[in-house]
Amino acid sequence: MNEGPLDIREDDLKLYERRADAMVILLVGRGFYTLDASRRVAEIDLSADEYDSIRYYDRWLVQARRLMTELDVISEAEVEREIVVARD
Amino acid sequence: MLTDAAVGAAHPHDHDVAADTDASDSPPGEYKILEAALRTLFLSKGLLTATELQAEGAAMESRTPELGTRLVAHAWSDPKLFDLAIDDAIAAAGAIGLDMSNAVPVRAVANTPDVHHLVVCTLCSCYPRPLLGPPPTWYKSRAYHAKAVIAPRGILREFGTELPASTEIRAVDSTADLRYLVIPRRPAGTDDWSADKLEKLVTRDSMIGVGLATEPATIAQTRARLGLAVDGNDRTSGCHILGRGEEGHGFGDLVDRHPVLVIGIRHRQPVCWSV
Repeated sequence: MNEGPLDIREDDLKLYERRADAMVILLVGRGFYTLDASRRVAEIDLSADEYDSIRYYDRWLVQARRLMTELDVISEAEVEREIVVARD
Repeated sequence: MLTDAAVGAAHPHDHDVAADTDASDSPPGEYKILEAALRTLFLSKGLLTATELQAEGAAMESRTPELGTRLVAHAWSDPKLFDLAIDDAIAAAGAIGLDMSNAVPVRAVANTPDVHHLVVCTLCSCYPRPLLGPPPTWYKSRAYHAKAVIAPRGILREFGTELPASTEIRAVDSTADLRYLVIPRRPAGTDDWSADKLEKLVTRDSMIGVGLATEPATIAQTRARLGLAVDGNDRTSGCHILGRGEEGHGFGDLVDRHPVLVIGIRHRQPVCWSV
C-alpha cells in the first residue's frame, strides 16, 4: 500500500471543529451512539471516495447527523431547516 | 538538526476560544454550517446544554501533553508508579494528583533497547486524550494507519528517528476501549534528575512512539545556539521564558510584538509562542 509520505504538519483546529469535537464527545458520553456505530457510518455508509475527501471533523458531523436522525431524535427535515437558517 | 529557519519560527498560541478562526476564510463552509445547525437542534431539544458544551470545550483545551510528560517523568523516577502505569495509566495519573476519572482505560508500554513501541489506532483515531490532549492530524490519517503496521521503521524515519536494526519496532493498536501511552527510554546521564527536570525531556511524539525523549545535550545545545544560559529560567518541556529587555536571543522583533515569549522544544522542534 503506497500512501505517500506523511503530512506531519501541526494544524490548529478551527473553532467549528473544536465545537464539533465537544458536541460529539458529549453525545457519545451520553449514550446516544457509540464509537463503533460512528465507524459504521464512516466505513459502510460513506463511499471510499467520500471517506477520503471529507476532513476528519467534517466526518464526525456527518456521523452525528446520520446517527441522530436514525435514532429519530431529530428528523432530516429539521436538520435541513436549521441549515437554511444557519446559512443566513 | 535544528535549522535557523526552524529556530526562528513563531507560533502564536491562540487562547481566545471565542474568536472565530474562520473569519478570514471565504463564505462559511458547508460543515461549519452543519455544525451550527446540529448544535442549535440539540440545544433546542434539550439534549445538550450550552454550559455542558462550553465545559467540554474547556476540558479539551486543558488537556495537553504536559499531563503525559508528568506521568512519564514520575514513572521514570518511581518503579512502583512505573509498574502501575503499565497496568493502568489512568490510576497512575491519579496517584500523582491528576484526576482522570471517567477516562477510557490507558496502559503504558515501555520502550527498551530491544523493543520500541509505536501507537496507532488502525480503525479510527483512538488516542489517550486525557494524557496527551487532542491527537495530531497525521495520527488520524490513513497513511499513518497503514504504514504504522506495515512499515513502522519508515514512519519513524519520516519523523527523523533512527533506531538500530536490532531494535524491534512494535505497532500497538489502540481501540475504543483501551488506549496506549509510550514510556520512552530514559536518556542516559539523568540518574540524579528530579521528576520536574525529567519532564523537560519528554515530548508528545516520544509518548506516541514516533520520536525519542530529548537528550539533555540537545537542550543544552539549543540554549547555547540561542545564546541562553544553559540552566535558564525553566518550565516544563525545556522552555525558557523571555521578557522584554532581554537580548542576544535571536528573537529580537518577536519579543517587541509579544510581551512574553516562551521558547522551547514543542513536539519535536524549537518554537516560540506568546503567553
